[in-house]
Amino acid sequence: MIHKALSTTCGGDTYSKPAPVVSQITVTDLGGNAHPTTWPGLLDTGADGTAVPLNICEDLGLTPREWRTPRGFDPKAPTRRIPLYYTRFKTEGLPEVTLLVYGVPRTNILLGRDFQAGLTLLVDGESGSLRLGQKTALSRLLIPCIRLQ
Amino acid sequence: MDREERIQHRGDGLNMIQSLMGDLREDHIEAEQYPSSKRDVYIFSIKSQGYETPFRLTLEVPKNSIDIESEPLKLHPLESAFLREQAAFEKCLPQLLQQWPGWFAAFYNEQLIDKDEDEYALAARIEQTHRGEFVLIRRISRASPEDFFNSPELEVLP
Repeated sequence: MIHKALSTTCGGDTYSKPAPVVSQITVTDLGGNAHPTTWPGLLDTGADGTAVPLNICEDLGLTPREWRTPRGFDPKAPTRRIPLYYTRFKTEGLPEVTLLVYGVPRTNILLGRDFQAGLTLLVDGESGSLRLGQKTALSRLLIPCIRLQ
Repeated sequence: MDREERIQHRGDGLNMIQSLMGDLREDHIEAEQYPSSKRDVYIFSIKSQGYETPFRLTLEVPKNSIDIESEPLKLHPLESAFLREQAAFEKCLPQLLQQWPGWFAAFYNEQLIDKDEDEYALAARIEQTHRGEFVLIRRISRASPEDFFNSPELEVLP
């Protein structure tokens, strides 16, 4: 389980309000070869998929296995075909996960609902904290919230 | 030329292109349209050699005439391979659906080379056998995979 403060920075991005950021994600290819740098990831419950900086995929020597044209917030905005790569994410406190991710120019990882599947996410705005983990580890924390209601 | 005349001329130009080039599908429109410009740029996919090839079409609509320039869009070599393998997958899809619905198929050189119920097991095998080469891995299903992102950098064209 991850338990940390919400953050106002994630890679090259800064936020006026603290955001749920997962720090120090190790990205590997399917053979386990790791990128030399760890990366922060912004949890996005509005995103179907996960996007990683394209240079990670290039540095690992990955070959795309699919191209897709994702839909954006503005249905009228021009869209483009984006390559997807198979990668693994390793983060302390969370189970290792294999994902098919979009490779785009960016400075952090966007963690979509495919990453979040199988995990429980608790963003506590009052205390400014994030808890992320498998449900069994978090169930004790969820029960007091239900009783208060 | 007012806006309605320009729209009419643009429509006439597109109809003319359609009649000249046959099977024409609008792929997406590049964001190069400016209110003050007379040039509109369109990206179309044209079926040639059995699979779709993107073409860039530029329509210039000066007074009383339409000029059209077209050129094949330069794609990354792997993206060209993707279009080829996608066409092969779609051609084989009816048969694949009968034998392995919901499984994942791997296509290379327009041939089915491997398949598995487990997407990631298939991807791991392909990575060992075809590292550095484009192999399309796709679920055997009629539904096209579609993802939604609320991220500007995935929307804006390069």
